[in-house]
Amino acid sequence: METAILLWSVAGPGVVCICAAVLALWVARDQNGRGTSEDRWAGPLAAVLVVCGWMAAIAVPLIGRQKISWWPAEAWQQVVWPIGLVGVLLALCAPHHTARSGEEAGRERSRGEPAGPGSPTLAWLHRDQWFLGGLASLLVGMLAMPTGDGWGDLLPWHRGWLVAVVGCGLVNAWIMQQVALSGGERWVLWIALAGLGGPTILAATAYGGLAEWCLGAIAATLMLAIFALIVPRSGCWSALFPAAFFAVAATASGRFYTYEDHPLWLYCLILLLPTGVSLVALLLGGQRLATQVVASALTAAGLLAGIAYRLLLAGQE
Amino acid sequence: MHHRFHTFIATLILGAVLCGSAVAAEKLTLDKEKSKITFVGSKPEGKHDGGFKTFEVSAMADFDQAENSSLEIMIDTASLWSDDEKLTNHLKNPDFFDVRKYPKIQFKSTKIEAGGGDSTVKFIGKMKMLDKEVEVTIPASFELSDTSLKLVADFKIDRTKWGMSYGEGKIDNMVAIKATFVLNR
Repeated sequence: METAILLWSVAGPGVVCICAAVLALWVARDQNGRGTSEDRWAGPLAAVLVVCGWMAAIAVPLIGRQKISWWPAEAWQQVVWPIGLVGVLLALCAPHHTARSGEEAGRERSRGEPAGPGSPTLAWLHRDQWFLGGLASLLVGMLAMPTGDGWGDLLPWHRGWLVAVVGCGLVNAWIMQQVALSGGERWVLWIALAGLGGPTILAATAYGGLAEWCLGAIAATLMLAIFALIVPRSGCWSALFPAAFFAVAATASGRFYTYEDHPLWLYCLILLLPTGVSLVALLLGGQRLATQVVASALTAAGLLAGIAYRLLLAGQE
Repeated sequence: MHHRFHTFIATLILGAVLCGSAVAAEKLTLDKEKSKITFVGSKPEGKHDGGFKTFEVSAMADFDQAENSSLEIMIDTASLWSDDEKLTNHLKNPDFFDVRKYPKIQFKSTKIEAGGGDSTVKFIGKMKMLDKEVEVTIPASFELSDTSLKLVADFKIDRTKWGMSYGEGKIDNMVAIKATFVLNR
């Protein structure tokens, strides 16, 4: 791999994410470094820090390789702002278990005990999480597709793709949150990571700049996924929100920048891969953790292999 | 009165010059079937052929005085092709030609002079690509018959001069271009 790509799209985003994760962990933990903080706002604050770190990480390839300004020229680069907004909103409003682990909270819920937020403001945020996220996601859908004189012939695609970006982004984020809150907070980011695979392959077939950006998102998510596995109760799972919307926005951009006619089912598969894998994880919720993880991993690998085959090899001599 | 007389004389001279050049320079029409623009992009592991299917050429030729001639080429970037479908896809995107944003490549001669040898000519002009204008010198050979003029230009350009820097270090900056124009008299 080219050194500049390695530096700006892999190492840079990875380092930024690790710094953000350490900072978030420090915020979420109590002063003595034992267990998690009793402060109800520590969890949401840590989650927002993780999302901001993830967003800063994916800005690294844009700044280093695309030389963007604060408001970039291309639509797929502009979408970084609304993805950040929707990510922060969903992470801030998500139920966080600052005083106990997600596994414990999952067990409480399975026993019918509510995981209360403990603050009226937090209760309001939790209740309206998807309403606020849904509103913000409209901006992602609006900006993910290129416009202008040269794109006039593709204007009829915009409505359908707007619905796809908003709908699939919300569904993916919601179902991955269910996995996280059902005891999967330490490994749910691997599902988000798998969701980034399809758009990256799609971009790699047509547009190097977009593919490098996707690679940056993969590096950022991978680092947080590893961190979440190693450090319990790190709160890193909140990165699934921007990752989910990044994946659908990058798929939409990839569709507009390819001149190949791929079938509709392939785009649906790329867009909804996280939902498919999460469904497997949730359906096997009663099984041993290892069974759940292995089945999810095999599903993700199978779907990604199918996508890669169709995008890279099918139709070639 | 004196001023009006001067204006009249200036108009007469300008008219004579314009009529004179119109008579000397001959408008040529492009034979699209026999004309082509191709390029070769290279990298250490190999090379790829490509080109443009659609382009227009406006040519005025003064066969006695080359400096009175002019050449303008307008290439439709969306007509780009290459020997690999996925490469064509990539070349059309903002990493390279960004055909949606920049649908045309234009070359407009500013000076035409005799080349080094027989039947050679040099076109000096501005080439506009990716919204950036760069002066280029295109050496060409020509074959003149009673019915047509055939121009063959074989040259290289540095793509980074137009800001096309994707893959620098991995893909050669110099791109070989071959253009063959058959212009009917």
